[in-house]
Amino acid sequence: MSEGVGPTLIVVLNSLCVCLGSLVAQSQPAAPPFVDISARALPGVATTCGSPNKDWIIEVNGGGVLLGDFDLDGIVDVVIVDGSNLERADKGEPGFPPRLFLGNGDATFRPAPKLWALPAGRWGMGGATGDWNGDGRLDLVITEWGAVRVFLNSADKGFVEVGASGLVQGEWAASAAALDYDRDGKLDLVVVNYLEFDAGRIAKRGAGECRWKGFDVMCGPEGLTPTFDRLYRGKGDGSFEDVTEAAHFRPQNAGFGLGVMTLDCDDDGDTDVYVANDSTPNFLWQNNGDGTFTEIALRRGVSHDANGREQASMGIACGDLNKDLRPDLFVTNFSGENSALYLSTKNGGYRERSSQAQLAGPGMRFLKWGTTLSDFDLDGDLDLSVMNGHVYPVADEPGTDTAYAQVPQLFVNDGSGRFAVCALAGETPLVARASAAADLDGDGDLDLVAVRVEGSVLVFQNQMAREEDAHWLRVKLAGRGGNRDGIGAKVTLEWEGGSSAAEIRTAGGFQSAVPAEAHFGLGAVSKLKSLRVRWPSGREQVEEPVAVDRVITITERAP
Amino acid sequence: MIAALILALFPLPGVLREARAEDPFIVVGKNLDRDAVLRRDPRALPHAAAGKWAGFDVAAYENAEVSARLESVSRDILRSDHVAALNGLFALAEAEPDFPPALHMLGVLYFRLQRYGDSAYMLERYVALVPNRVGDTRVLGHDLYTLGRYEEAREHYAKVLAHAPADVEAQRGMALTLWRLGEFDAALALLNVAIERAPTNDELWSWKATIAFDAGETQAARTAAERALELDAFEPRTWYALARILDELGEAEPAAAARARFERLAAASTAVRHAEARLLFAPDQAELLARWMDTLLALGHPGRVRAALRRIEDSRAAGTLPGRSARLVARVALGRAGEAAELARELERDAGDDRRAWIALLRWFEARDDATGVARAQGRLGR
Repeated sequence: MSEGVGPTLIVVLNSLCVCLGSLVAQSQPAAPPFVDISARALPGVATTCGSPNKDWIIEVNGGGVLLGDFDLDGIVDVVIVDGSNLERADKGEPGFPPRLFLGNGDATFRPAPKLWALPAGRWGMGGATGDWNGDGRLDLVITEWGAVRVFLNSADKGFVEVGASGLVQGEWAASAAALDYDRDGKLDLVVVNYLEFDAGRIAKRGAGECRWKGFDVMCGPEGLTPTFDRLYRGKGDGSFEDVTEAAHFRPQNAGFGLGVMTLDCDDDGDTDVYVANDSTPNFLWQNNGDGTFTEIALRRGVSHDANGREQASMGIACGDLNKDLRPDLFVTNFSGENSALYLSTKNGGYRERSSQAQLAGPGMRFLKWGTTLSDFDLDGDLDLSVMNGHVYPVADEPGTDTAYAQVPQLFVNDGSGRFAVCALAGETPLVARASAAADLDGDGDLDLVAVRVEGSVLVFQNQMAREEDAHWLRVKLAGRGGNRDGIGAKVTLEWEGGSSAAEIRTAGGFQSAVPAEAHFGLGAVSKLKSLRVRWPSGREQVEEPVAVDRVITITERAP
Repeated sequence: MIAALILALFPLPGVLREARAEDPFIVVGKNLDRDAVLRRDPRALPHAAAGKWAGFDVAAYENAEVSARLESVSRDILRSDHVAALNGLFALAEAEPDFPPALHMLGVLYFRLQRYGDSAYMLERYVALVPNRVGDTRVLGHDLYTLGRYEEAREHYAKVLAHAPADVEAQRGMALTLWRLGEFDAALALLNVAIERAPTNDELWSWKATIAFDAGETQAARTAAERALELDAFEPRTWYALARILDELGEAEPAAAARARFERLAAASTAVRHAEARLLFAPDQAELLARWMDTLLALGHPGRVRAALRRIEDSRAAGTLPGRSARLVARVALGRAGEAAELARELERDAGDDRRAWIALLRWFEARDDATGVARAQGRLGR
């Protein structure tokens, strides 16, 4: 055991960094799976989230990362959602604006022309992407402390803010996600709210009111009032109707909502919603198919950890890990808590298997945020990326069993559902937050963009060694009607001896969004028998044969 | 004397009540810089010269000053003042570096303070000095387990059990570790051994329910959950397991009832846990103690209310308004209102406008069917 907590965390990772053992010569030092190319990918781009002292809970979430092709050139772009500080907020001044950066196709970005400039809001958190007016262009929702704003992508006019969006203002909105819950072809929106924050009514760090491990820390979320989440029905023009009550999307008790994921947990073709709550039980909203939802997280075993204890949940990743063609969930939690891996079972429930998958122990000392379940090494099974970083600067004091800055982690699936942990991009500890994955350089594997709680934005280029015959496929959809990207569709690949499924979504889990496409690592599978799409409308479409190692777009056939 | 004080902090020997202010080794109240104690890195404590403690025999060790310091530390621990106890042990470690019992106590104290890395460090240092005492260090297994270092926890529990095969707590720790490692059968087998030794240990039954359910042994899980609830009906984990088991068995209505019970207890338990986490570092803060009692009363567990009442009565906050209010309200809840007449009389005398005091008095008057008192209390509460 070494001297300090910070170095100890690095040492632990080094000693465990064996995940590339089969892919590199044993005598060679293992190269990091990802390389940090931030300095050339997004030079000088940084975000702000309050003061470095973190006196208030508003200062700890960091900003957002929204990935998507906004200029329709086939290359992934990024919107960085920026925050503010209390001095500006107290004076009624706006925060720092969200900014669009256009992808160059090599994992680097350039600032978008001025016409794409977005106005500053109050204090940005994250957001969602989707084509809410059905014109084929990707629109934006920005979540903020005190506001949720909608921007329609008008191509030659850039983003145009929707004046009367119908969204409830004045709440602290953390994450949001696009979905078509009523399958009317018009995208809807779920907004996850955190808590009621008023610096005038909450003790500041240092007042002795709030302590962690004996040290003074910012107050919350315990002791503060959580805010109910909101469900909005899209009208197809960028405005919405609040249907939270009508859709029964309101639990008995509100949670401290931070993350959100869309998924079809019961495989009935309509979109359900999972919400990660900080320090309160998580929600799983089952879509009843009639415009209403039922909260079933406890019944399905995804509300608490395996012992029935609520966790401080932040980020969510979703994918079919156990290859039963149904979505599994991975939820990141506070330091001292394991991340939860909820694997689907035959009877429609879930079992928490993080320990057995060797995901719990290596993450225990980390405070875990943005996460992605993707096949990063294209070997045919899903891996996990996790961004880490504490909320309390005093985490660097003796005896906390953690540290403020922490190394981002990569968990590599060995094919049996067990994972080996690596430092994702070297040993530099960071205070990272939201992240999103996409193929930024067009090489078929997924790269990552992440934000820190404050400071420069991170771009991690995937350089994982892959087998020579490792194949992949990226599938985009072109739907009929307003839901052009087919959000909520299920794509299933079949090949001799196997199959794999993924859902089309833009929800990134925590204050983030990803491109609306299904990414498949196929390993040695070079020939696919078929590609099946279950469109949000319920119609099935089969394509065959399908070539691999490319990006394909499936167009919805006329009924 | 020293042998009697050490190596078995669960429970500590002897019944030591109020610490004496004149004790030269006690630094109490505002004199103790608690932040400085917590910020102290135990790795910086001096080491003894190599070989100094080789062959250490606690039974044969005699040192009056060390004995007095350990007694003082024990008193702090009995008052749940772990930070003061740490401070005392730091002083001892400066005077007598690497004194094995002090390392052990530091390890256990850090565990109680949820500083698992420091606890592990101290206990590893202890075992390195006195390897024959590895049987005393199940807490090191708990540290490693809590830190998620399951393989190391398994290795350490195995060593502890080799020296102390009947240690039920170590067996439980090993079983949980095996479960975390995916070895369900081995975990259940070990829990069954532990249950044979301690058949009324509700925690063992509760864990058996959780692990058996995870292992797909739904009927065995149900039996274990029901037995656990016979022994302790207030453990949320057991209700959670039972709700999931009944769901799995398709018994919708009982499952819904178990879920409802779980949700109520889980919310109350969380509040208790948060209160206890704060008390770890401020054991005599009257308002915190009173709030802690409120959370326990909401949970409704009589045994825990009794234990909390004892602690408050033994604390420096016992005579404060919040302390007396908490004591009164606890006695009422435990059906012991009759014993509290003097306490109630004095509390009413001193209550002034203190809302918590009047709420406690209102409950006491109600328990005594004292309509005049109820009216008086309600008047003070503006009802």
